[in-house]
Amino acid sequence: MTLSPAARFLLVLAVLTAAALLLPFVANRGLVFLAGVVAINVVLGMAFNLLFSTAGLLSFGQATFSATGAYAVALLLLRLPDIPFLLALALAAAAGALAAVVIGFVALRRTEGVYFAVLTLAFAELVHVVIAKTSFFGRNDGLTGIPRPRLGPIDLAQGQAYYVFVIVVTALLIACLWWVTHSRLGRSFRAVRLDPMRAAFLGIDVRRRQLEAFAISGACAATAGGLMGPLTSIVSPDLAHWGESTKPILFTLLGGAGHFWGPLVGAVVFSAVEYGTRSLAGASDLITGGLLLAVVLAIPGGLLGLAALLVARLRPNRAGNQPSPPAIPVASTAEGAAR
Amino acid sequence: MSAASLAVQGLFAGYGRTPVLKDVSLTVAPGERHVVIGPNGAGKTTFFRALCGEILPAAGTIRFEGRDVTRLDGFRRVRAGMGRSFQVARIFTDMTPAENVVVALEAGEVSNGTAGWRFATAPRASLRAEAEAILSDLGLAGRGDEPASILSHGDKKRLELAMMLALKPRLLLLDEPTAGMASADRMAAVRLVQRIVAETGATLILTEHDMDVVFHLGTRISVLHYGEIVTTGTPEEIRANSFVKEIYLGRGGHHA
Amino acid sequence: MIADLPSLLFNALVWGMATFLVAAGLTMIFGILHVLNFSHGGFFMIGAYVAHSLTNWSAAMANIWGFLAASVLAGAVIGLVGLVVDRAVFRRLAHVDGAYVLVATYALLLVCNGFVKLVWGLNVVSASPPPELFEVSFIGNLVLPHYSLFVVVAGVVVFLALEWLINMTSVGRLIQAIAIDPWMARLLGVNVGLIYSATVIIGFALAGLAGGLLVANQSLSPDLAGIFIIQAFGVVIVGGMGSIRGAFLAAILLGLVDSFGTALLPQMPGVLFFVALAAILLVRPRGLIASGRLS
Repeated sequence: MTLSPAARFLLVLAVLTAAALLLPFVANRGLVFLAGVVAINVVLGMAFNLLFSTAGLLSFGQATFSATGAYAVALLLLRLPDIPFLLALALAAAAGALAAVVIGFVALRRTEGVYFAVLTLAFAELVHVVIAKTSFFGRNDGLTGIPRPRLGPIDLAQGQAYYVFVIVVTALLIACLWWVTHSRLGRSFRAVRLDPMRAAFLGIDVRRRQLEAFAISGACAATAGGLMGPLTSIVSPDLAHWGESTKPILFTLLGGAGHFWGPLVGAVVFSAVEYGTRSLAGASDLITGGLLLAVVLAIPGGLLGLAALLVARLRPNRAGNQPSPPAIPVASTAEGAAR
Repeated sequence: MSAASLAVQGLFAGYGRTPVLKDVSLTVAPGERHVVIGPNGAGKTTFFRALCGEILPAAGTIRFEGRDVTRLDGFRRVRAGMGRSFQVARIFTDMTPAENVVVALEAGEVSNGTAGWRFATAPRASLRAEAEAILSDLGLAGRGDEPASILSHGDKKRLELAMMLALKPRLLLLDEPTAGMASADRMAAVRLVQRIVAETGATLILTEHDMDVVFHLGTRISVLHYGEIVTTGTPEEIRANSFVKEIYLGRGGHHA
Repeated sequence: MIADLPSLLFNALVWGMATFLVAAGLTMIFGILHVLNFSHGGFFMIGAYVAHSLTNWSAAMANIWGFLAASVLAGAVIGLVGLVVDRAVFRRLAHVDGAYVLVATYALLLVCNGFVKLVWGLNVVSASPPPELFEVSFIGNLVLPHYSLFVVVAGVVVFLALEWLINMTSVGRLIQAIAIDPWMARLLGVNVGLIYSATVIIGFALAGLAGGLLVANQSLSPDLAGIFIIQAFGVVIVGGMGSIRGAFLAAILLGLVDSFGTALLPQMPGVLFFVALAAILLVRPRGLIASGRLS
């Protein structure tokens, strides 16, 4: 039995969403809160991976977009308490896309080597300083007392309602990102990553495709970031710090950049490790750094890449029995993993 | 003027401040198979790059079917109907051959505005069929699921040709189409290009090292020497030209 | 504003030389290995902590000679760490995609941060300069703390020493040859691996030395690495990756931008640095000295 890629994706997404929704029945409030944060981080990782593995852009400034979304939602909820929450999220997405287009317009002039990474890093720090020094954004203290809004008749402040909302929205964002990755647009993104020159001489507008990937990634990251404020009731300039930009990179490489679900695996494993070592001062940095270094040096395909390798090794002589991939397979091997 | 497929007028181009091409002018009629030859370092590659839009000329104009494309980006020239191959075939190695052609077909649809909105992620069935047809026409059928990276050198060249043809260009720019091939493969490649040109009616401009290929394929030949076109003519005229003989034979070597 | 001009220029020079001290090793390693080393800031920070611990170790160290000795020792320690990092990490990254290399060095930075937190704790520590450098001179209205003068002199001395090393010694010429064409150098019988290791050791030692020399320039905290690495990245990129002379010029230029930017926009210190960085990169993407080779 072979399922189409879309059906297989929806099956996995449904199982994961159901598991996340059942969590409040078995776990305490602290863990459920953490799961909400992890769900948001999964989207941030996947939005980064769309740029990195699909469009071939190493962005070191993703915190700009998640922080843009977080601040947009926080400001809207605090200043316009009657705004429909979904509208606030949509505006956050638009703000993230706009920020991405403005930054991308400049940074994408230099996509080669480390220049793009450092340019995005510089812009992210610029945004960080501006947020931390502007009273409209609450300066270093950030914005506090962000309420959990209503969604029509549903009060998201009640019980686990907001957690459920976070899970549903992240599932929708993941579906969006999957669609972009595997659609005609995603195919042209991959063409641009694999060989920008060849893509250009097929009539593909390379700069525009890269800007589109950047805008989509920014919009998704901003929407996910927008979910953060009502969850934690505070947004602070730390959200825009460049250390925050490196987290999605870490999730992606840890889980496996060549795999759509890589950032999810990475975010869950990373959060579990961090949770397990939370009482040791400094240990979390050591463990995070050591883990990341080990992955890059030893298993550049990440945990999912390692798993795929092990599965292939466990059934060596059954190539003939394997279900044949669809006529146009959608493998998106990361550059590093392919080498 | 509008009769020409490509008209180059007073072209200067190069890298940094040193011009490689000096006052190059060339007119290519529709349906012509025009070969640019010249010794190593004569500026063939620079000329080719300037025609494609990979480098912008310092002076001069390039007109394609009467339209000034001198300042146009490479991808816009492709959209205007110019196809281009690379000396070392460039294909998307992580994709299957079919996916390579599908990406080209989809790029073509986006370029000419017939793409439309599509929710399903798989390529349109008609595109997949068209891709298979192009591939089997070029002898690349049935390569199904293997990545294009494992194709042989010659197959990669043919796949690149397939991607070009998917865009239905009216002008084909081929940069040394037989570079790195064994001589038997060369003649097969020549026949393939001849057939494609006959079937599509496209105009052809190519640079080439191999004189067999040059005289088999070319209907007109231009000789580039130290960044200038020293003569243009039919194969017979070029064969008879004493200056060309001096350039090539005077320095020894059939292949220059 | 005009009355402040001398002190603005002096602040620019101090900022520039402090950042150059950190950036020198960074640009050198990039010139040879083509690795933009995030962890450079981390090893700079560890150098500062090591030097601080050494000077606090005994009262005999509480003078300028003890201070200098501690800085040199910190440089030596970090240089040895560089040898280990070169063997354990950099060599394995030689054939890995650039994006992964950048991430690997970021992972090393995290390890450095964790190490500092574990060994020296999370608290902010303030180190004071040795008594000889504690004083302040005045030229008219211009205030010249002796320690700031020391930082400027140290920056210039390190720059001149590197210029001498690169251009006047045989090791320096080998390093230059490899920066230009490692393949050719190998063909000519140069032990390229050895020169790579030497460059990494020198680069790391420079980070440790900078940590020791700048220990009293700011307070010590686990955030130190992040602050300096971003500034040093800016200097290295604006100067032209791999160019020591370029880094020196860029450090002064960006020091001026930072100094005047803080005076013009006191409510947003540091913003103009990033604006200038982006603007310069757009106009001269390969930096001021564009060769990209050690010079």
